[in-house]
Amino acid sequence: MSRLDDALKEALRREDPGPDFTRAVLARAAAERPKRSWWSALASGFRPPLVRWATAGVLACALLATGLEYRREQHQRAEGEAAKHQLVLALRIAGVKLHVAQEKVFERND
Amino acid sequence: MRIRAILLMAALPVFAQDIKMPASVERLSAKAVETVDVQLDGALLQLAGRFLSGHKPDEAKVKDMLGGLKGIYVRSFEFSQEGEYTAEDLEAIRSQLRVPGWSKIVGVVSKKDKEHTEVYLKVEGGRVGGLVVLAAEPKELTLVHINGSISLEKLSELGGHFGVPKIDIEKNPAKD
Repeated sequence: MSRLDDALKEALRREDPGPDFTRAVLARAAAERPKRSWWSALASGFRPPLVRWATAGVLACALLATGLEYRREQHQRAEGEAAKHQLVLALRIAGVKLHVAQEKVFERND
Repeated sequence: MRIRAILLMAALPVFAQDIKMPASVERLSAKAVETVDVQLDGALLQLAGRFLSGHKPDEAKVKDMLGGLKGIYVRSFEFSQEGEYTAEDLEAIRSQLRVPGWSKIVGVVSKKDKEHTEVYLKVEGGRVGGLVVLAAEPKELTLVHINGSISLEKLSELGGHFGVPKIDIEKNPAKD
């Protein structure tokens, strides 16, 4: 029994790790720390809920503004094309009537 | 009374600048089988100009002409039978052109064809500031008003484009 006690005491004896132990552990921990990509680093900045909501809001506003601008441009394009069509029609009528007037003047002078 | 006189005086220049289809003539649209109503003010002309290509020769000519224009207005009625408009209707239009600045450069009356064609020019400071064409045919009445600085040479250059017949300004022997 005493031999067993002695063996246990020997095995569980407090042993001083030495002065370099702490430094070695810290160095190894630093070496094994996983490297974060720039994307994950950037994304981590958006993790707090407020920032996430703000980002979603800004994106939604940007999408809405883009949609409205596109619609405004389409509307303006339709108006412009209609105005162009009317302009051509007006010039055609004006040209035809001026031509008729000119022909009549020529007829009179012949 | 004084206020009314001031308002009337203030309104006169506006009246002198604008040629409008009289209400009696406007009512002809109910009898017409076909009407054309083009109302292009300065803003709409500028908008139309933005959609004209500067690279296409015919559109470039129109774009070039728009610079000094304040408006283009066309009102045309086509009837199924003769006698839908009266001499008074024409007179209501002509009376608006009997103001300083406007002068009739062409007036052709064809009794045989029952047609009246009149061309009026507004001259401002030696430059053409407006053009009105009044064409009255038995079954058709047309009023064209081009408001603003218009070059007749540029207008004639449009001949052959957009369905506009060729107009030869150089040979025009117009007499009063």
